[in-house]
Amino acid sequence: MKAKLSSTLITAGLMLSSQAGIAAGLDEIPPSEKAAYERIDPQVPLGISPLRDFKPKKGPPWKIGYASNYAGNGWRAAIMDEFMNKLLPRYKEAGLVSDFVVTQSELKDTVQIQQMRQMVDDGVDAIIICCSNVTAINQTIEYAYNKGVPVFSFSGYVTSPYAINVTENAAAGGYIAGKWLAEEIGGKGNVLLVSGIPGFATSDSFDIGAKDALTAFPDVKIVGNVAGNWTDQVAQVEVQKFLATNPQQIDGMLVQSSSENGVVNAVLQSGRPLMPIVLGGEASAACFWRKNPEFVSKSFHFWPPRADARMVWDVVMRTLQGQGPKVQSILRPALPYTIDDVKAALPEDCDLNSTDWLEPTGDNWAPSKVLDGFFDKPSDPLTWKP
Amino acid sequence: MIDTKPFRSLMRRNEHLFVPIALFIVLLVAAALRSPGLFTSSGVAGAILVAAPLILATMALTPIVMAGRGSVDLAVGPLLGFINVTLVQWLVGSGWTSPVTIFAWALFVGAAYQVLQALVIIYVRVAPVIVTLSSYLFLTGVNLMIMPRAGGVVPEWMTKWGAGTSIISPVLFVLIAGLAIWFVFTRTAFHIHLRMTGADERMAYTSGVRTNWVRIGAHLLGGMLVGLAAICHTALISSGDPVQAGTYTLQAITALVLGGASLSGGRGGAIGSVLGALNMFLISHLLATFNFGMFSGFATQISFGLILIISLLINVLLTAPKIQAMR
Repeated sequence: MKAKLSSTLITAGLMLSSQAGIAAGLDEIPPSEKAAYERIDPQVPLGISPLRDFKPKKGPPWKIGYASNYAGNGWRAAIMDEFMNKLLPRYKEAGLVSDFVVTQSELKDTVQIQQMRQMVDDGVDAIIICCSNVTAINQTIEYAYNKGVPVFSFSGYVTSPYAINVTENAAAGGYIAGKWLAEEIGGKGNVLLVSGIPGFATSDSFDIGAKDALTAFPDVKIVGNVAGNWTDQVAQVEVQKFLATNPQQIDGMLVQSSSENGVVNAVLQSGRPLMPIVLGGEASAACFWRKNPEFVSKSFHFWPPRADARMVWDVVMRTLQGQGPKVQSILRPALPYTIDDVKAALPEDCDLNSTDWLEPTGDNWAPSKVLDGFFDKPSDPLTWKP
Repeated sequence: MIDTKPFRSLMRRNEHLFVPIALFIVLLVAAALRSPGLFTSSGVAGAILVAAPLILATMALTPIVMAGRGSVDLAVGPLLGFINVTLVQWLVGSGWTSPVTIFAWALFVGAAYQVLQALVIIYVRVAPVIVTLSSYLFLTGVNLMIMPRAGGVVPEWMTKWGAGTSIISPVLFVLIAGLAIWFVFTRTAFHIHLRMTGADERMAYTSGVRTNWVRIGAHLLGGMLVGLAAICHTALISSGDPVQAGTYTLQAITALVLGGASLSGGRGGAIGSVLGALNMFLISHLLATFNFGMFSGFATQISFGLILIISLLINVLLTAPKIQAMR
């Protein structure tokens, strides 16, 4: 009884201290960025960063590891290109990075765990991961942290208290998408939900946010849910199958990017009149929009690959430079864009099969000034002096 | 004059292990040259931690595939996942966290589900591959229903199992327990009956082997080993995950074949399976020491595939003349 009571007290104490940690963490968020933290997935850690007083073991220059867990779509290819061909040469020249090591685990967590441990043992100074399993690699992140190697998760969070998440707020993104679609179809009608990969955090967060937004529109009904796997071809087949077997009217498609082009193609092939579809940033779907300006009223950057890559790189450099990240999770909101932005970015004879991405202009996704607010001793990473 | 007959017979019986052993040695030497970190205490500890679930999952497939009829258990991954999510969601979620309960549940669920599959294969007379493929799809869906997204916590006593910082670890003991179960199994007549059934079911039946019971026994043993694999997997990821375990199916089948087991039955064993799984781990480890940069996605896959094809080819070339001679 006594043991049970004391364990209850300890649990209550831990909960209180974790609540206090979250509150302290939220206090540290720059006031202008608080909106990005609304409707957040409750699993996203929001405490004070454990790397606030972090000092690297050596360097600069630093050796960075990228434990990628997938390479099979254009989104990942754009990220890799940004890392290898844009950021790496620039930071090598500045004498800040000596090497950039890449591994691939093809969505196998065990392989990713092994590769990350290997990176730590082989002496990298920081590890970047993307869109990984939210809990499975926590022990590995702790292993890295204990050996002085910080881990940064971008475009997706991990629940580990030792990592820094640099990511979009997927639940809020889903909410914005759901609200926009409901309004676009006049607050009434049938909607097909095209998820990412069920069971993956970003996919589930986005869907939760989207469904939450639709509760405000009682006449909007989700009449089906298919998994598009964030891949055009998969989404196209799944939506085709759904449309072929469900004769009812579909008034809107709530789609998780990057599969919107597949969904557009599926609808066109089905012969149905095109309904509003949530677009994320695929240049192919944007090109279709450019050629059919009446298609939708606006679109959103939910997770622009190159801007996401630049943001995490920036945060890694700042942390290694000892600038002191204040909070565990640095979040960005979805950015709307219009047909004018598309016209500015794509030529009239754009490619409908492009595998490229439409990115936010300049550093709009994560402006330097905004990132400064998340650090104790902010400085531009490229002009920083030890 | 020394009688070399027993030695030669031992060699002949274990011919299928030549390639896995040779590959293992080559990979170890390559790893020693390219990644000495593997041979430190934390390197070995990490290797045990990461490789243990695959080793046990591959061992779980072994008795089932040995029983013949091309019965590769495609459901091994999702079954492992089912045990993982039920452990975290149902048992830990309801406060049942004692090690005895956790182990009993893992072993029981693994064994019970495998016996069920065996009964369908035997009495409904559906081809094993269809039964296990259906199981694969069924359990994948069930896992997502039980736990829609990764999360949850493991019992407190298991939280440090996944640290992987010392060689003598609980995961190592679970692995040893799996090997001990296998060792005991090979000392029984059941092992001989299993090999006979797998090699030629009709002949085994006419020789008085109760082949149905042998098949049930093979699945039972496999199921218990899946249970142990699930424990190690749960320790590794320290949480529940509805989708990840599915990846073990392909990996374990590859490791099984890489370890020299015959998918047509009759031939296979723990040593081969352990070697196969270790070789998979070492290939993956070794590939991670090369920085393929932009091409990492393709280069890793291609290299992995090439190594597998070459070793399987050598395996086939070594055993093919014997098969010809047997005809």
